[in-house]
Amino acid sequence: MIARRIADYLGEKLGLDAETRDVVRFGAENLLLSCAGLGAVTLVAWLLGCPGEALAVTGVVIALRSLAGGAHLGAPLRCTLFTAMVFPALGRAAQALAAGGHLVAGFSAGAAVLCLAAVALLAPVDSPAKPIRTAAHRRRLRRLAILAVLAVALVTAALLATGASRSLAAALGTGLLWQAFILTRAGHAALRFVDRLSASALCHR
Amino acid sequence: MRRIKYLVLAGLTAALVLLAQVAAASACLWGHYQPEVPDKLAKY
Repeated sequence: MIARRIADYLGEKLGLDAETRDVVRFGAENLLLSCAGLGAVTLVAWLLGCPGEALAVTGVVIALRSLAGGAHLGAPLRCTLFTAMVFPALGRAAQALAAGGHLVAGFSAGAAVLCLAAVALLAPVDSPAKPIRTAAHRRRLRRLAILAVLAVALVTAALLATGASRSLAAALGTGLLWQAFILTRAGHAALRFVDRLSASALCHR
Repeated sequence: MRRIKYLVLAGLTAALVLLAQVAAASACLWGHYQPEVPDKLAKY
């Protein structure tokens, strides 16, 4: 993979030991996956005509998922393709919802309450590739995730109160709902299903 | 020129190590794939 090659190149040029090379590989993998995901979401959202809404959904997920965790797919390419489909679709859904007018306030409030409950009960949800090892860290992440949900709810309320953008407010709501969903067993089952479905087509790339 | 290249590579490495530390302290990556965390950072 590219991240491994970058780490090996830097390790060779700077004389890094194997452990430090692995840390550099992890940093590079995070950077490349984030850039690929963000680029793919922006491109698809631009083609669908909802870049603002899709990036608002992505922003909510970046803020919350880093703290609350959630279900994952088994390979980086699958992840990028899935992210590029889901977040713009949620952005489009937010646009459609905003066109409905009065629905947005109720939807946003419901999404915030649901996400808050899911985060309070389930977060943080870790993965086998990155287990959370201490109870103190787990408690800290849960507290920060709850604060993040409240912050998103506050921004949504401000957007609705000022009348700045109903579609962005709806997008924040769909982001909260998605985050709540991937914390649940149903979310894990859905991503496992997507993993199985796409594994044969993409041959574990 | 060689010194500048060395400094650039060292800066890039430091930035990637910092990013790795931040990522290791979070619950997971925001996308739908989680890279394997190195043993050196598996302390949280």
